[in-house]
Amino acid sequence: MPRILLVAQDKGGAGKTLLVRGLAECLPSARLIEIESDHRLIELDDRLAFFPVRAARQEIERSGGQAARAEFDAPLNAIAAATGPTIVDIGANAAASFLPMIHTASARYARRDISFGLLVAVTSASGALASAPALIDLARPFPAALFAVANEVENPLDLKALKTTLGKDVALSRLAKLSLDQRANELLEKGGLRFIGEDLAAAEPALSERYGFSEAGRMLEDLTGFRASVMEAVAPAARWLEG
Amino acid sequence: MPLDPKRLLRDAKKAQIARPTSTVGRETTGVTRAVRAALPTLRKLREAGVTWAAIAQAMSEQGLRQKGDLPLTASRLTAIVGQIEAQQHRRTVAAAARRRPDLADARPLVGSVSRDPSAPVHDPAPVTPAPHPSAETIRRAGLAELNRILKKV
Repeated sequence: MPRILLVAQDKGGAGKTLLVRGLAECLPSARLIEIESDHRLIELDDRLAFFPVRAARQEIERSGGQAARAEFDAPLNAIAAATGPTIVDIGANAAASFLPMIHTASARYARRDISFGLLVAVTSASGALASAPALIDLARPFPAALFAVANEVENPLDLKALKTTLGKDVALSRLAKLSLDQRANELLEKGGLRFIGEDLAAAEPALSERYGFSEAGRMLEDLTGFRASVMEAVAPAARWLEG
Repeated sequence: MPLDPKRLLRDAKKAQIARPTSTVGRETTGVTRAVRAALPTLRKLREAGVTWAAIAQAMSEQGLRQKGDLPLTASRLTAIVGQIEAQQHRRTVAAAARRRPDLADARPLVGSVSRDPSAPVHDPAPVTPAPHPSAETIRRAGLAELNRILKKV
């Protein structure tokens, strides 16, 4: 019975893609679907199907929304064809249009034994705070496991108030504030989380040669710790996805 | 030690002929060259929805091997594509800069900056802006750079 975890937040910069990367680390066998204006998860290409969302605003308005809906056909088909746990990264400004389409097709998906979960990333930005409960409301009509991650890497959040806003049926976890070595952060931006688990330990001599023994050690520690924090934040959703 | 100019001329020409026509200095395996030649085809395959993993497998089946005589992987293939596209972008930008007629005609200012009103006005041709790299190209170049730092390449 394939489980599909939709990862959403219509405000950009909330850390949604980071959470997707964390889920991919938790479940190395899971497939990924990326619905975005441009392809971001390039380091996961061997496990991922990318569906560009590129319809121009004028074309969407001219076609009464048909242009946007047509773009979602391919990812909706890919979800229908899923055979195992699948993580769907829904790009900013696409989730409010995409979730109702999942709702419309939810009975047909259910006949294929496909079930859905929703994970929403939340930051202290007003747009993200407003979008999160709206997206969760869109997912409530179809049976979905609901998760949210309070992303406090940049700024703290009032978790109690957030829990009240999102609802008791939402499993809320947090990604705590972390300060990364600057060079470690540069590597993170280049490669996401995957290289930390797969390549970093073996690259320790190369990093020591390039940055010096001490700083290389700090980079390894920071990157390993950061990956673990992200994986911990998404762990409840990953456990559900694993089934 | 004095150089023999005739011999230098002859040997340099011979060496030039022996070198690959590409200006790329470090193509240590044939994989990068093969990917560069096949890049338009690879892009068409990607547009048709074929995954990098499938493309890498198909290329391996045609005999392409990466370091350690291993089959080409998707991550290695995308790293190479990122490198090639970043390099192509740098060349395009450099070529566009060389083509700028306003820069070619520029002369240092000497003495008074006042212009002779009878002199023809220099009206530089419009400059065609260099195409910008896509966000994906920039990300792939970053990933390729990371792989170099980690000495995966």
